[in-house]
Amino acid sequence: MTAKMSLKEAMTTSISEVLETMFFMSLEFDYTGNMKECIEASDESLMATRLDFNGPLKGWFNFAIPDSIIHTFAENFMGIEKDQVTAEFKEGTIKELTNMIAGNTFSCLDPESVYNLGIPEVVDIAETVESGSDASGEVFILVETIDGSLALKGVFSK
Amino acid sequence: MAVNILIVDDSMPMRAVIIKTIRASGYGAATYFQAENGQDALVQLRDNWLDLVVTDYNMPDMNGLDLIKEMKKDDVLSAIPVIVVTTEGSQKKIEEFMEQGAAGYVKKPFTPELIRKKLAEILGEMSDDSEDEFEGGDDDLDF
Repeated sequence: MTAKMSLKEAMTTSISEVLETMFFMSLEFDYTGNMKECIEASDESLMATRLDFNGPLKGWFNFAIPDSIIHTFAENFMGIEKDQVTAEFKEGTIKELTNMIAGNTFSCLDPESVYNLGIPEVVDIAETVESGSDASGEVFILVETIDGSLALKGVFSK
Repeated sequence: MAVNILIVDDSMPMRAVIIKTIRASGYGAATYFQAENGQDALVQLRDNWLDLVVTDYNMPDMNGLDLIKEMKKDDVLSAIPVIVVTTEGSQKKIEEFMEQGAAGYVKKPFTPELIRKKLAEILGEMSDDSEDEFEGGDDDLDF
């Protein structure tokens, strides 16, 4: 339980640092719910990613974000106009967002340990509801921004 | 002073962000080259005269650490400073980058100020209008 709380705190801190530093957003967090509920509640299409990792803990992160929000993120991130955002830019932005949040989570959790991060990949939104084995712990965070909500899930095991 | 800078990152948006940040740091006169991974970077390094490499660590085909190792094997490329910009935050990894010859390290997420500071350490302070500034005026120019 203690480890899970640390993971939740590390993920929360990481999301704050990444979105506030590089996307200039203020955020609020909600730890209730899960990815399935989040998907069902969304009234627009969602983009999703997965990033695997191993180290003292192994598992993966899923990130789900409404298409309109990733469009805005890509505009802000790359400093381009709305009509210049392409599907490639959106995919690149959500992958980099996932990469930064995952890497920063482990820096926050334990800067002394080495974690190997995989390459982030875009996945079908339905894959994000996958759970780990019985021995896995799962942390779900709903992140509220001024533009809407996005969700991050971490599945961890030893 | 115009400099040639190679940005190595498999994320195209991140390459764009790094270029935008470096430009905003007063290096607007620089020429930017781009590569998607270490292998691609080595080709660029052998085809162009470059003054600085800014590389990610975690990339497919060849990561940033292997790129630095390959550069150190080459007499010419080994003299080019490399800044690692990455999400890798463990002390061991940072030490490994520096031991292998990285000139500097910036952790993502980064602020423009952090990038500017690191560039200033390595390339020296400069600004977009630096070419117009001669402290001694025309009298000191010897043709």
